[in-house]
Amino acid sequence: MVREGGPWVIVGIAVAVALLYPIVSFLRPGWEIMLTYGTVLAIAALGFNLLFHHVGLLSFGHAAFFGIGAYTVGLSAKYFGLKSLELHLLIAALLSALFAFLVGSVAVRYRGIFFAILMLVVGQITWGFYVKFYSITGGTDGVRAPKPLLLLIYDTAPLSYHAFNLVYHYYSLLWFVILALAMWYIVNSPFGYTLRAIRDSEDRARSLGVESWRYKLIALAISATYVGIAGALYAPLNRLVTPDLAYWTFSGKIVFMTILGGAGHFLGPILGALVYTYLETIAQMITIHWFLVMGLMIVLIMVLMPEGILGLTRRRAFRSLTKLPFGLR
Amino acid sequence: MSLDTIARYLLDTLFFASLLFLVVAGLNIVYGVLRIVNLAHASLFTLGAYVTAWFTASFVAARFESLLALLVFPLIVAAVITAIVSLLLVVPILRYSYGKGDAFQLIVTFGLFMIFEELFLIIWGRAPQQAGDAFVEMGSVQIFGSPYPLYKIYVIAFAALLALLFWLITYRSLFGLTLRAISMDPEMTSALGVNVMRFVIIAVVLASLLAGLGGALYLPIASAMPGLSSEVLIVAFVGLVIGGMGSFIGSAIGALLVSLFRTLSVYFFPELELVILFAVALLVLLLRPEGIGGGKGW
Repeated sequence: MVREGGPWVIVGIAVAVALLYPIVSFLRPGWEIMLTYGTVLAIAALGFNLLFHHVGLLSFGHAAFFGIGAYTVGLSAKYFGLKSLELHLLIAALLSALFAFLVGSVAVRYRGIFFAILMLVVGQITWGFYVKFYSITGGTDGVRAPKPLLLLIYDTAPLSYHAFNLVYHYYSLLWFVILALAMWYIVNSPFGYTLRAIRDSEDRARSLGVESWRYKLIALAISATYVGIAGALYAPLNRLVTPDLAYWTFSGKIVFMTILGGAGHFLGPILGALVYTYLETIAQMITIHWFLVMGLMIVLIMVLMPEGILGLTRRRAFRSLTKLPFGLR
Repeated sequence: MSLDTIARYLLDTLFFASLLFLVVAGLNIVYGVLRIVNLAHASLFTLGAYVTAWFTASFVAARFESLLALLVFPLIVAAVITAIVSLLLVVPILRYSYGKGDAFQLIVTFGLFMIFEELFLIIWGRAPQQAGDAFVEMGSVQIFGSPYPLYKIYVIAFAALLALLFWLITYRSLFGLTLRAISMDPEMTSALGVNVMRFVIIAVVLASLLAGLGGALYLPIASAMPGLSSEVLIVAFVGLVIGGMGSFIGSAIGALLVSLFRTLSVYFFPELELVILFAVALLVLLLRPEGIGGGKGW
């Protein structure tokens, strides 16, 4: 059983993020949009962590799926005039899953370093595609993602960006709740248990008759679908889709969010993504060298708090801080 | 195809392979002794390139007229600085990551990569740094009636010399014997009275030195700029996968094959460079999962 989280906690987080939006926009106008970014990135980090924590495969190429999702929105709006975001999400999910099956059929046969390297190269290939076929993709300038049609009937094009951001925040939260709940059931299903059995000892799982590569492939496809959907949700929010989203350092950012929150906890990636967006904003206000801060933080987190922020809650020092006086619990 | 085109193609392949070999061999040494794939390894190549550009432009080119000074001084400075940086930044992190699992090592070295990227930006900015003096001074030679830059041939010869030296050290010296023993069984080597950590540190610094020299040799025909590390890293990884991890011959074969296909694709389908390389890597992995030269150890 995955301890932390649970359906009500997920709903609780969503409600909290929903309530925070007007509060933050009142206290510090302009900072509320980071909540939306965090929500969208949380979906990606959740998907990544299915593969990272539950299967034990570290991918440095998940930006590939994020890019597929984002470019699905940008390109299909540009060339086919497709406006419905749900349709975009569906295509993005299918394309990412298809790509994951294609790549994974070879990659999941390898573990550890080999898997990481193969995924890294795959990610860079997709990035190279966006950069080099600039007549289609706009090269490094990217493609614009216009304001979409939501829920098949609600056209957001006439809205001001201020109003659109508000609407889009709650729309993203809706997807976040659906996908996070689904992930909760996936990791607690027999399928999830099998994945962890494979992670802990692939040989033992196989001797029990589990065709491990099949499970790993499906886990990769689910993981890719989450990241692809997150990419598609990211596009209208960011308004612009650039090859950076498929670059391997973006994969690194997804890794960073996950370990920041705590990869060993179900809620870790969610918390990590939300904290990450604010961390990036604050760091970029202080210094332009965000990568340096992030690089140092990655090293420090891995050395000092390998279980991330949520890992701290288990430490004694933290517990004594949160303990109520007079022996209250 | 005329004879001079073929010769040019082969020489370009060899030139690129020599540089790539220096990086792949370093990755292989580190993997051999520590079982770590260092994501920040190519950053040392870039460091070598940046240092060469800076040193050539601001010191050597203004003071010395001679070609020898252009070739020797920047190379030495790049080597020394790469070694120092490696000792101060790379060695402690790799030492700490030793035995902590693939995920830990990959993530920590990724952090190191980010630190390097940003440090380059802080020191040298976004503009490409160039210093083509040595390349220009050397001129070109006639090969089957068409000119070919002599500098590239010099790099091929220099890298071949380094490779020979590297081979002699690994296979014909006590130091190399110890390194190979560590790569096979560190505990047993330690039990035989070898200070394993000292050898590991020397090996990591040597590996960094090779990468730094690669960058220094590369700079005169190109420029150092943001994104170079990633580019080199990806291509070197493909070479590592094709050649096999932890093998000397593998590094050479991997570097050669990657360069062969890379030069081919650059000549004919420049857009598909990485796709072709990846296809080759997959093919090799399917036929020989441990890579062409891998699986046998050092």
